[in-house]
Amino acid sequence: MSLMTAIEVGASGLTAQRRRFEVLMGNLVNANTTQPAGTEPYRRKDVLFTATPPEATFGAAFDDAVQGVEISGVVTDRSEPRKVHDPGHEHADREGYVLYPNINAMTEMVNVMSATRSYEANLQAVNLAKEMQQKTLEILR
Amino acid sequence: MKVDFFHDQTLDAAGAYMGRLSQRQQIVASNLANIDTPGYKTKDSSFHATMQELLSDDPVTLRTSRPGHAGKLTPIVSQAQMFEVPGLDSGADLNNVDIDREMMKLSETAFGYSLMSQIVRGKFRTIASSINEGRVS
Repeated sequence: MSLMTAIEVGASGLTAQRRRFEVLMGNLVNANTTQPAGTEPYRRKDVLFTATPPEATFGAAFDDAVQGVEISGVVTDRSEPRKVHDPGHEHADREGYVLYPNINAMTEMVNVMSATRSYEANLQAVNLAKEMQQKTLEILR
Repeated sequence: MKVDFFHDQTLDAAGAYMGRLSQRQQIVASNLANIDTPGYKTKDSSFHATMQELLSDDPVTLRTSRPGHAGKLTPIVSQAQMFEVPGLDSGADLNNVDIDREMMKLSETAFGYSLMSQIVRGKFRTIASSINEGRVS
């Protein structure tokens, strides 16, 4: 039943956006996390989206063009950490520098908003497909 | 006059149209799911061409070898043509899904489906009405 596929595809979008949200939240809460000098500081993480055929639970999708989405991996941003001069800090190195994660709270917030918007769009798609199924059931009422 | 309710052109057309609409809902859901997938291109189904097919009064003639075979069919094909939508701007990640366009298509499709289901419902009510000798149940 093809509307089931539409729901399945929408659900894959919901899952992917929720996981992305989790990763972004991890970045936000660790924006000021420091590590003892000499160890690698926390680095910004992001997800990789890949289009993937939906699982055919209720019959196949009508065309290969119908694709769900999945997260194919979490990647680490290799850009340089922020160096802050703070000799009194517990994690300062010999020259008095502390390494902070390469995270900009603004960038993360924009990404969080984008994830929220995409989540809402997918939710709307699922709801409308459900509504369409309901209309089919109402034909003989 | 013989009226064949169950081989009704309107029902066939509405049914095929509903099938196409639910296929289209799949495509739109697919576009929305991949709204952040790098390199993904917006897809659509050949929708208006479909209506043109339905409206044409020239039925498909099949070759028959026996008199009992179905010779003429209304040209409703269950498979819509898929294509990548041209002329959309893509961002730096080469993804050209436009959320507003997709949301519009989404409600357009749901509305069309609701409309068609009302038409089909009306058809069945007509049958029910004749069963009940014209009384509205």
